[in-house]
Order: sequence, then structure tokens, then C-alpha cells
Amino acid sequence: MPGKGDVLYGSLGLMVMKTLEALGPLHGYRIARRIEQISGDHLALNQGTLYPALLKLEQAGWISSNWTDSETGRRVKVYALTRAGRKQLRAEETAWQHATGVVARFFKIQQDPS
Amino acid sequence: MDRELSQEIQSHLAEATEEYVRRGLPPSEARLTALRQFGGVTQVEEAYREHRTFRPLEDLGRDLRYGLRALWRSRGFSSVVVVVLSLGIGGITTVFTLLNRIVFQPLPFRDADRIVVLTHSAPGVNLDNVGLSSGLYFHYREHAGSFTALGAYSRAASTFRPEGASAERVKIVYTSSSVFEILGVAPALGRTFTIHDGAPGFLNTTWAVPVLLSHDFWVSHFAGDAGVLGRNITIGNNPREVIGVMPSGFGFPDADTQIWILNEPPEATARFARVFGLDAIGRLRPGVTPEQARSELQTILPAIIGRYPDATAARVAEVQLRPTVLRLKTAVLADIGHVLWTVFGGMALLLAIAWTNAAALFAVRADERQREISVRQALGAPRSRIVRLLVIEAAILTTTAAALGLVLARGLLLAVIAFAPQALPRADEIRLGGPEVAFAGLLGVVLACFYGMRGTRPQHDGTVSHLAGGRRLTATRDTWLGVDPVIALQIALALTLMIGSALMVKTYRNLLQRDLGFSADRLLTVQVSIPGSKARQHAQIYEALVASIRQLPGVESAAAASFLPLTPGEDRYPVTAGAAPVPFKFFVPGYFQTMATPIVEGEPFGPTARVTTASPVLVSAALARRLYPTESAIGKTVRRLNADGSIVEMGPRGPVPPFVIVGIVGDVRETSPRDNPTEIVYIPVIEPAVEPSIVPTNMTVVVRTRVPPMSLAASVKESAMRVDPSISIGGVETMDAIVGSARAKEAFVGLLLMLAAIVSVLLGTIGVYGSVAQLVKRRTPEIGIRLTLGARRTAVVQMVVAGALRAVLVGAAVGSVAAVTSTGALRSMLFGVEPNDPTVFLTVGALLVAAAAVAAFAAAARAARVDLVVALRAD
Repeated sequence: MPGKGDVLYGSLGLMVMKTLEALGPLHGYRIARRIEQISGDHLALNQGTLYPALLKLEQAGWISSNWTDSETGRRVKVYALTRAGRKQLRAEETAWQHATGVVARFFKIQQDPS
Repeated sequence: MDRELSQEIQSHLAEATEEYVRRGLPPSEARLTALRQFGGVTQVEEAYREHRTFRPLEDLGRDLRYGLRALWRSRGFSSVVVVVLSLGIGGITTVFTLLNRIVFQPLPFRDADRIVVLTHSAPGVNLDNVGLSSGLYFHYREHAGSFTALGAYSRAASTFRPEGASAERVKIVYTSSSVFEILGVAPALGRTFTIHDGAPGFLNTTWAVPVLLSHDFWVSHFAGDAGVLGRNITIGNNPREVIGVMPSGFGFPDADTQIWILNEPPEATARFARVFGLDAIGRLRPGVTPEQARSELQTILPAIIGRYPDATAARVAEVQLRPTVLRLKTAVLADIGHVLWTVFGGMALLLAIAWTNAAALFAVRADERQREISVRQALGAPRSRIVRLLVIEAAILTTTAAALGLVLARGLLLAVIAFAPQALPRADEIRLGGPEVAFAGLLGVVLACFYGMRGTRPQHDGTVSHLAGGRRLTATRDTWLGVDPVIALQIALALTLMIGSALMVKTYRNLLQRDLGFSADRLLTVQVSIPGSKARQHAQIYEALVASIRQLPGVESAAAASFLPLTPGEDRYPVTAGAAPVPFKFFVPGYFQTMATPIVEGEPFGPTARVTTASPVLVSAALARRLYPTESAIGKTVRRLNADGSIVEMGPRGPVPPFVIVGIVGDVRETSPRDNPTEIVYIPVIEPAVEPSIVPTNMTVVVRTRVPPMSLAASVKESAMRVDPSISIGGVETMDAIVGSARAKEAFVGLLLMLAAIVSVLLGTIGVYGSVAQLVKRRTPEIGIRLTLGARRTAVVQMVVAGALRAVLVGAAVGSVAAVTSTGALRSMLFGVEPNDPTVFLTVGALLVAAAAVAAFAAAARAARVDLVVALRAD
């Protein structure tokens, strides 16, 4: 298990998109809190690094943003997954599973004494 | 953008702080914890800024660099595509420029859309397309509410006498002050005419009538000196005051008008229908259409009855005046719009051929890049990225082609303006500006998108077989019913263009061979004028001048006439009541011999002629045939009549005596090579004057030379100075040049279409060669197998060529049909050849098919040289 360390930049984008898919449109602070919850303290995330990642995702066309008023009356920028983003998520998941599947096979071979 | 980020960050921190407060931390500590959790704010802002600025530009830069490298590696492909496309874009941009500047842009006058030209036809006195009489001018000016202003002008030639230099003939226009009011063009210097300038009256010759100079005249004769304002110059024999200079590029009614002289028609001696000698323009009232104005003029015509001595009810009914009101632009453009659109169509065909040709080249390249594209896609590049890459690459080529095309267009336009100025109105307004560059740029963009997006479509099979290294043993090719559409399309387009151009070339040749009735070879023409004060001696002066020129070395013969064939500006008068008026030409004896026009019957009136008959004239054979169809015209009489059919009177001296026909001149086409031989009366300039009521103060000297004509121009001018220094010299040109400009329009169209056709044939045959060569390359494995299995090389060649020829023949058939339907557009320009002339179709078609066949054979010959081993191994 990787210890508390810096999260890979690319994976951060993936986690953001997965969060938006699961919880629907969210604003920056809520996304950061959710990622902290899910990763269960195994990651030391500087919340600020979220914002450049959000920018990259938006530039790639995978998320879109909108300024609205939150329930508390505060003005917040809410992010949502786009259709292209959804497709990208599917592709990444498939690639991830493919990669881990191949690696898992190697572990199985090692464990097999013959 | 930065502000938004700050807002977001502040909002984030505020929310985090709130949460810690809710969890029980004191507010200041809560804030500190939130900040710590966040990380460095400034670092975040910097990271954000970095990404924001560079990403899109960085991508574009990368794509551009990659594209340039890739294109440089395939230099052959790149250069051919650029050349082909620049030819297509250049041609069509040239004609677009002409269309835009001549047809689309409004005339360079204030509110030019509301300026109209007034003309009349008077079927009752057999007049067509004449101007206004002075009576009509005043009547309309007073009663026609459709116009806010009416102006009258007339063209003339006069003499300019600069101090200390010899006299010069100048093109002048007498004009009312309202003409300049209507045109609304501000002068470059000084001011234009106002109605008050004419206060002293024009029958009064003691004051200096104001004049305006054209910009070119001011520069060439006064060195652009602003001190010319207020100065008096001598025109004709009268002092005129220069009150202004018009700006560069202004020329009304003609581009070469040099001086405008204020002159209002005389109201006291105005008549309704004696002479329709005034050209008129008007400014329409806002909201009034030309048709409405026309019908108003027709309606108020009867009200003129009684206003003038000759405006009787009977006369008005007899003349049957029909006014016409035409927008000035329509009058100026005439049929040039039709001509330009036709040539535009031809260039569009050329562009289509270039487009197809380049598309085939791109397709070949896409084939070769299929592997690279598949790899990119497998690595995760979205389709949009690949399309963008291909479009940028194509755009590099197409924008280069568009830029080169503009350079080509500039050259073509310069050539067109230099060699065919008579073919094009508004020639001085032609230039490459914003709209034209945008047009070429737009073509570049459209082509780039087309080629870029086509490149991503898999040409044959999908990506998988490429990555797996799959070998296709039998190549499938996109064909329609077994015929290669690229070859067929290019041949069809090229054939249509070639047929159109061949028809125009044949037209031009027919006009070239047309017998005009005289010989233009080595003929020098010089315009001369004598001042009005010497009118009484005009016959002696012209005789002396011609005699002096005949003595010059290198001169074969010389004479003079009041106007030359194929030059405008003859005066026409009726010779029979009720028939159309005919031109009257004054000539110095020896004219017909100098022009090499035969005398069919009677007195030839050579240089040494001594004719004893009183009032002798010559008539053209055409006129003789009309007046005296069954007998010889020699000895018969003919008279000059007024527009109303009355005999010309010379005041107290009574009527002008009738002319006696003493000779019949061979037919000459005086007006245009397309027209029938002209009916014309030739009046010799002798003493006593045959036609005493007209003095030809302007004549053109013609000189048949043994040496190149222009080399004698200086000595001819010198002779004029020696004979009489008061003679002024005007334009000097060769008769060849004059005849050339009569064919200028056909030459213009023929030349441009021929250029386009030649390029299209080149592109078409090279396209056939390339397509066949590409086919051979792709089918090399198949060919190898066939050869291995025992097929003879010639059979393989035949197979390849047959396929190509099928496509060529289909293309030729389609092209012929397209030509049949589209050459109808040329009908009005053709001469001596029908739009569907079978000889032209067959000859041109055979030529093109032959050329394509040669190209196909040449390419297929390479197929025969395919090395067996290489073929089988080819992948």
C-alpha cells in the first residue's frame, strides 16, 4: 500500500471525474472533501492542487463549469462532467482494468509453484 | 480570469473555515487550519496561470511544427500540391477581382445608386439611343418631379495653347453646373461649378468661362502646381479660368476626359426636336425608381406643346419620343457583367480540376499515412485531434497556395489592364484589396478543411489490418461502376473548359480574318485640329499638311478624314426622310488610296484629282444599293437633311445645294467588325466647299509608311508645325492598335479562357498519369502474381490502360454533355461559330482523349517493368 505521499497528477484528474460521475455536479470545496473522504486519509492532498487539475480537465473538454448560488447563498463555481468526459472515463477505466488484469496474471504465475 | 480564481479560492477557504468552526475550533485557528489544508495559495495561482496561457497556443504551435516537418519531408508532394492549387486559386481570384471592382462595387460618386442616364429613341424620325434636345432638357428640368437635379453635357475636342509650347488637341466636355452637383465628387483643388458661375451668360465672349482640369492633365501640363488656380488658360481661342482640379481617378463621362468647361444650353434658341445633342444625367428623388421616372417623363411630354416654335402637336405625334431612364452603373457596365461571369465560370472549372487533382494527391498521401494514423488512434488520440492535425497540415499548403495565387492574380490583372483596357469599363478602379484577399483566404480555408477531414476517412479497409501488417492481395479501389471517378471528373471538366475556349478562339480568328474594307498594315494615324478662326481656309490647310507629309522619307501615301473606321464619334444625318441617319465623312483626296479601299465605280478622287462636277460626293456601295438598287448611283443626287426631314438651310444663303454622286466606294465596316458594311456619304474637302454648313475643324491624318509607323510620328508632327503653327496635334496611334481595340473584348475572353484551358489540359493529363501510376503501385502485388502465373506483360499493360481509358471516355462523354448545355452562355459573344459547333467538339474531344491515352500508356509502361521478385515481396 503506498504510504501518505503526493498523489500522481494524472490520477487526480481521474478521481475528480469519478467523483463528479458518482455525485453529480459539485463545486471545488466539496470535490476536495469527497476525495479526502474516499481516499480515507491515505493521501495527503493539498487542496489547492485541485484547481489547476480542474483547469486542465476543463481545457480538455471533459468537464464544464458554471457560476451559481449555493444553498448557503454563497456564489460558487460548479463543475459537471461532459459527454466527452464520460467517454474518456469509460476509456480510462477499460485501460486501467486491462493493465491491472495483465499484471494480476503475472502475480498468479509467481504464486503458482509449478 | 484571475479574479474568478481568487473568488473561488476565497470561497473555498471560507467554507473550510466554517466547517472547522462547526467542529469546535476558535475562528482564528479554524482559518489557519483551512489555509494549511489548502497549501500555498500563490503557488496554486501560479500553476493555474501557467496552464491557462500556454495550453491552446502550445498545442497549435506543436501541430504547426509537426506539420511543417512532415510536409518538408515530402517536398515533392507539397510543392506539386501548392503549384496546382495556386493555379486554380489564382485564376478564379483574378476574375473575382474584376467582378468585384467593376460589377459589384458602386460607382465612385455620391449615392451613386440614384444617378441615372436619360436617353431617347424616336422611331418617328428613325433615331435610336440619342440624348436630349435643349428644349426637352429645360422642359424636364422644370416639370419632372422624379429628379432632384438634371444635368446636361456634351463631348468635344478643342485646342489647348500653353504659353511657349505648341498647340495640343484636348478632350473636353461642355457641362452644366448641375452635372457636378449630381456626381457629388469633391475636387482635389479649388472648387467645382456653381450655378452662379454662369451668370454673365455664354453668348458673351468677353469673360473667362470657368473650367475644371482632370488630375492627369494637371500633373502633365502644370507639373501639379497648385498655383494654377485662378489662372487663365487658352482653350480653342478663348481664355478660360481654372477654378479647380478634379481628384485622381475621376473621369466623367470618360476616363480620358481632360477638361470640363461650364456651359448651360441656351434657353432663348432652344428647340424641341431639331438636334438631340445633349447627354443627360439626373439624380432620382429618394424612393423613386428609374421606371417610375421614365413613365413620368413620358406622361409630361405632351405638355411641351406650344412651348417651343417647333413643339407643335403634329410634330410631337410624328416624332414619337420614348424616353429611357437607366441607372448610370447599368449604362456604364453594358454587357461586361455577362462577359465576366462567363470567364468566372471558366475559372471555376479550372479550380474544380485543381481541387480534384490535389485531392487525388492527398488521397495517395493519406494511404501512406494510414499506419501512422492508426498508431496514433491506438495511443488514445481522439479523432478530433487527428482531424485538427491533418487540417493544419493541409492549411499550411492551401494558405501558401492562396498567397501564391494572389501573386499570380496580380500579374494577370496587370496584363489584362495593359492589353485590353477597351474591353473593361472602370479599369482604373481595378486593384487587389481586402475583399479579394479574403476571397483567396476563404478558398484556402475551405480547401484545408476538405482535405484534412477526408484524410481521416479510411481509404480502403479499417485500421486493424494495417496494424496487423495485413496484405491485400486483390486491391479494391473506390470505383463507380468500374470507372475511376477522379479521372472521369477531371476529363469532363477539362473538356468543357477546352470547348468553351476553342469557341472563343475561333470567334477571335473569324473577327481577325473579317474583311474590313481597308488595309490596316503600317498605317499611322494622327489627330489634328485647326482653330475656329481658320475655318475658312481649312481646305487649304489640310491640303498643304497632307502634301507636306507626302514628301517625308518613308511615306508611301497620306491623306486625312474627319474620323477613321472603328473609332467612335462620327456625326450622322438623315439622307432620306424617315430612314435612319447615316454617317458623313469628310476626306482629303487620296484618302481611299491611302486606306487601300477600292473604288467600285466612278471617280476615285486620288491625290491629284480634278473634278469639275459641282458638289461632288462619294457614297459607299452599301448606301448606293439602298438608294438606287436597280441602277447606277453615279450622277444621282443626295442631300443632307435635318432630324425633322427638312432641308438644311444656311440662313440668308438659302438651302445647301444637293450633292452629286460621282463615285462609289468599296464597302467598309466603319463601326465594328461584326456589323454589316456601313452606308456612308464621303464629302471631299475641296474648294469650293461641298458642304458649306459644316467645317471639319478636327480631322485624323492617315499615313501609309514603308518603315514602322510610329517612327514617323515625330516628323509628321513637325510637318504640321511647319505648315501652320496654329494646328494642334492630338492622339497618335497605329491603325493596327485601333483595329486591335475593336476586338479587345473577344481577345480578353479568348485569352483568359485559353490560358485556363491549357492549364486544365496539363492538370488533366498529369492527373491521368498520376492516377494510373498510383493504381500500378497499389496493385503491384497483384500484377506480380499475374506475371508469375504466366500472364504476358503486354496483357497486364492492356488491362491497366483499358481501365483508365474507360474512365477517360466516360469523362469525355459527360464533359460533352456539360459543354452542350453551358456553351449557350457564350452565344452573344461568338461570331461565325455556333455554340454547339460539331467540328469544335470533335476536334477538342479527340485531342483531349489522345493526350489522356498517351499519359495512361506512359504510366502503364511502368507496370510492364515491374520486377517479379519485388512485386511478390511488396507489402
